[in-house]
Amino acid sequence: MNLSKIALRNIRRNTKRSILSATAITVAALTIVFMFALIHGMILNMEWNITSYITGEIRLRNREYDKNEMMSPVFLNIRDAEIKIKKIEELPDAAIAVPRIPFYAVVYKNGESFNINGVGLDFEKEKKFQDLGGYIKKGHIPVKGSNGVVIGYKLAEKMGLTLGSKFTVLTTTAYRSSNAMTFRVEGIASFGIGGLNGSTFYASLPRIQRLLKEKDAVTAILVKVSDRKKLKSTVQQIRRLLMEAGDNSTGVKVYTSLDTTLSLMGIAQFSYDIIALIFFILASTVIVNTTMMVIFERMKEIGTISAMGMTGGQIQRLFFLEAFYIGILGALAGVIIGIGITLPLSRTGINFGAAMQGVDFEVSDIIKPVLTIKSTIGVFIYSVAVSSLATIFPTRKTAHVEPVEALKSI
Amino acid sequence: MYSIRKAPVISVMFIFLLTSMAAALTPEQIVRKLEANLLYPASRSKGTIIITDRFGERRSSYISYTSGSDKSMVEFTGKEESGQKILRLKDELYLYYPDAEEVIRLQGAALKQSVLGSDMSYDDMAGDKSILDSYSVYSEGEETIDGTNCYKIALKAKTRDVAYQKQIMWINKETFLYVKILQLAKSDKILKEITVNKTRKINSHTIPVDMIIRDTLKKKSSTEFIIDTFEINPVIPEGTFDLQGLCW
Amino acid sequence: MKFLIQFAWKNLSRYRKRTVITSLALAFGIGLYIFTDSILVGISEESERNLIWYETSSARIMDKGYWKEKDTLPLKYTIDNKDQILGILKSIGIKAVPRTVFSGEVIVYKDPYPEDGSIFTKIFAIDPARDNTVFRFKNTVIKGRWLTPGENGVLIGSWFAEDIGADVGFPLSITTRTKDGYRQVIDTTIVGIVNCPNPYINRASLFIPLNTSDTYLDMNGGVTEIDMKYPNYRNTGKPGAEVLDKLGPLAKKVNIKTWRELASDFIALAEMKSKSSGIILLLIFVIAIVGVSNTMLMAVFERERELGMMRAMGMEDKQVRRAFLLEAAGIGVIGSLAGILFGILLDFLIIHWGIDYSSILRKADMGYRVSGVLYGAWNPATMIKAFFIGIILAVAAAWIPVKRGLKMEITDALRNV
Repeated sequence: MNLSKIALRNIRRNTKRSILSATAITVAALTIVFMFALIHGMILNMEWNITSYITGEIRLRNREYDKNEMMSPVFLNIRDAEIKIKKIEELPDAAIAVPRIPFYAVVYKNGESFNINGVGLDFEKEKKFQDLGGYIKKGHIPVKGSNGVVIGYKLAEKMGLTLGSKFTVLTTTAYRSSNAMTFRVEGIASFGIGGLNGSTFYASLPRIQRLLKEKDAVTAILVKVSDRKKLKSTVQQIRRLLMEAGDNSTGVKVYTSLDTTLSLMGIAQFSYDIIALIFFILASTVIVNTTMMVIFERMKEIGTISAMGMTGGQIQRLFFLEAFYIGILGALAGVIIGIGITLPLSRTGINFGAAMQGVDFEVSDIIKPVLTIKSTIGVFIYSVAVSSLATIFPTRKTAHVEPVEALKSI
Repeated sequence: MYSIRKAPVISVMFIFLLTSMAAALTPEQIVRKLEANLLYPASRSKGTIIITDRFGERRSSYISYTSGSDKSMVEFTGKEESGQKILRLKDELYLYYPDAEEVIRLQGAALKQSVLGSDMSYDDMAGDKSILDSYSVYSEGEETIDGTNCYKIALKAKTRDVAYQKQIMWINKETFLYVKILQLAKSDKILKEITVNKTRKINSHTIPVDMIIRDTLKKKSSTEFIIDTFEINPVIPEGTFDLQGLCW
Repeated sequence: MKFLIQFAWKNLSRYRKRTVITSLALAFGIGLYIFTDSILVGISEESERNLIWYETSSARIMDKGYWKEKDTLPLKYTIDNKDQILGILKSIGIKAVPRTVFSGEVIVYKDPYPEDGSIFTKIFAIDPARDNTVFRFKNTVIKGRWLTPGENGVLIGSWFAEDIGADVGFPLSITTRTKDGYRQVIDTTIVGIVNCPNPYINRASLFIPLNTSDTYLDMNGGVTEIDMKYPNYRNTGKPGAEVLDKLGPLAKKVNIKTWRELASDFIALAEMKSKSSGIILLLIFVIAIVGVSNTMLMAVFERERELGMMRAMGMEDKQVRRAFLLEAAGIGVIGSLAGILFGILLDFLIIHWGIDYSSILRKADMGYRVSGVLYGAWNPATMIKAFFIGIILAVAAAWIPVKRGLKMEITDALRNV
């Protein structure tokens, strides 16, 4: 007896039922594909934000800096920064390296004082590194070496600054004495990390080096690699470079080993994982439920074929095969439709900012769902497995049922 | 007979009394003499500041002008702080930085920040009042510090505009310049120790030309002032103490 | 009609297996929908809670002059009649605690610390007996103990402790200024380490008893702030107005700032707000609908023969439809109720205990870094919504196959397997 032939015939004969159970699997698979892609996209987005704005994928900093980070130790710096950056960028897998000098400053304005954070950076390079041009909401990126700055929109609001306004910051230099400089607002930005908007301004590196008396030093060099797999080897190469340059005060760290990244990413990853899990369970129950329903409704049929001499094991296999074929059909359709929906969105992105309108400057969070093997092939295999395995429990029971009992049950 | 024999005793006693009276200056008198020694109509000095903390040592040089006790202007001449100025007019402090387009006026809590990262805060510089306006002074006898005979004077704050509630000064009995000062927290813990290592006599004034402030809580932290040249009543460029003049 | 209800009920109880499976599909969908909503609301409220529990409270009363200079943590603007204000707040049922916040420099020495050092920080003088009625630090002491009034003891944030190499029993000196501006040193001993989920607090804060700071800072009973806990922190308008009203003439001397206003100035490490929760809920909803309607459709399709039989026995189409829809509604009610119970159970677990994710964050071998518990939040609106949606869904899903079945010739329907 060719069970798979019977199974296929059964599927074809009761199209309505087959379509129904296949749709359940299709929709479940489709939503899982989309959900996983979305969650993966959100995690990547967060990772990008952190590595672009704060840590880089590899961060070079004075070893003592971390311990004294609270006092913004601009004197714990990396000398000959420009040469080192150049050498790092010559490494095969280091795509880009940017200098940064974050520092604390005070602004005294009309009898009020504001504690703010400044970052000295290379505007040209940051266009690429953190897509600086993309989040300037007003004005433009200042010219290198000028006193122009890009300022978070909330901070600008708080201090009453608009394009063209000037403000003077007082800060502590690398010589631990004080210095002040006047800057001019040329760009107002809405940063990807909300916290920066109310606290931070970006200024041109040479001006900040002058303000902080850093000469040619910077306090951090952030590196992005061309391929994440090459992170570790690139770290080794950078360490070697530093050793050759006689620099043993600078530490090199991968972003995943930094506290800030770890805590932020960890919390996000964790909560998304929980949601994904719930979703997974729910989608699985839909498949299981539909499959079980089909079998219970077909008790009489089971009785008939049983009476006709089919053994319990054969019945079980028959139902398994039916579910398997329907599973393949449904899951394939689901994954294909899922990819069909996700793929265009992964290019354009989904704008969550639009849903959050109300604040005129609210961050327009565009999240691009990202398809992975897990969210496509993985989901396909999983859906087929769940739908076919779901037959085992109810059919195992029915296989032991006497034909008369099964026939009676309607 | 009785009277005759008594006379020399009385005169000896009288002489003894006179000398001891001369020695027993009241603490207020001692402090006034200290302040008189440090007060000149105007001065100009050039010096070096050596600041040491747990991260290392830094040097900075300056030119300072004073006029009376209520005006002073310090201009830093060292490479790192070149062109920075601190102007004090009575209780007000203004900071000028070459790269800033406005003068920063320090007030309130901002005055508590340290100058150049030293052990001195801006409010240590401010204030033109006499010690006696802010402190009640008490004599705590005499002591010898490094072979110098000193008056030991305790200062207790009577107003609320000073940073230390208590200070102890050892004042040289001959020159009336302090040799050592301890500045105490309200809880009586010693916060700062100021010692004068070297003095120079200019006109009738004894000027401390090498003075070191140690932060007794932070072991490696100290600030040393070395005065290279000191002139009393020099020619002070016009506008030195003008707020507008700060920016030139 | 009574007959139809009875009929529907009999059907439901007779085909127990079918009823159970269909209701289960519904219950599962609804329960998990409620649960996911709870988690999503919980996540978006988490940063707010961390702020309110450990930083801002619901709202803060300060002296009028304080706000403008708040960045410098001035001691000159104090609330000197705190007991009167606390009394008034108590009379209207608002929990409140006094605090004095000041800045100081912490100085530590080599041995027992790894090296000499000093760092500027923020010090919270709190009332050890009452602070926990508004804030939650007492629960976050991970080592040592909570403060006792009047002692020269200090609690230190865990990151801070790690940064300077501090441990319980170590001495710690704080230099600061008294209210009058005199320099002051407070020599303390670390009695405990707090590890709260608010990184800002963990990283740079110290806590000392309020009466200790009162003595050392010459506060004469004055405090810099009174922190209040409103019954519902989201609704700050009404209680705020009531407080102002009850304070009467005292209100002229003070400012009341809600946590939103207070927080706008703090630098949030990151905004955990999940803007995509809408999409996630929608997807959950879609899959739940599919599950429910599919099972319902299936259940009715499979009964076309029964439907034909009922008609053959002389029941009117209207009655047949009603009987089936009533049955569906019955499943809707059972499933929705079970779903809500299921949801409440899951909610209770995640709201009461939460999910501790600290262990996940500890993988990088860095001692106690972040501690965190993910809590859910009750959302009754979602439950009510889910209940009705469940019933409507069940009925709607039955509608189509019933309508189809009624269109069929009775003989055709009966012929069907």
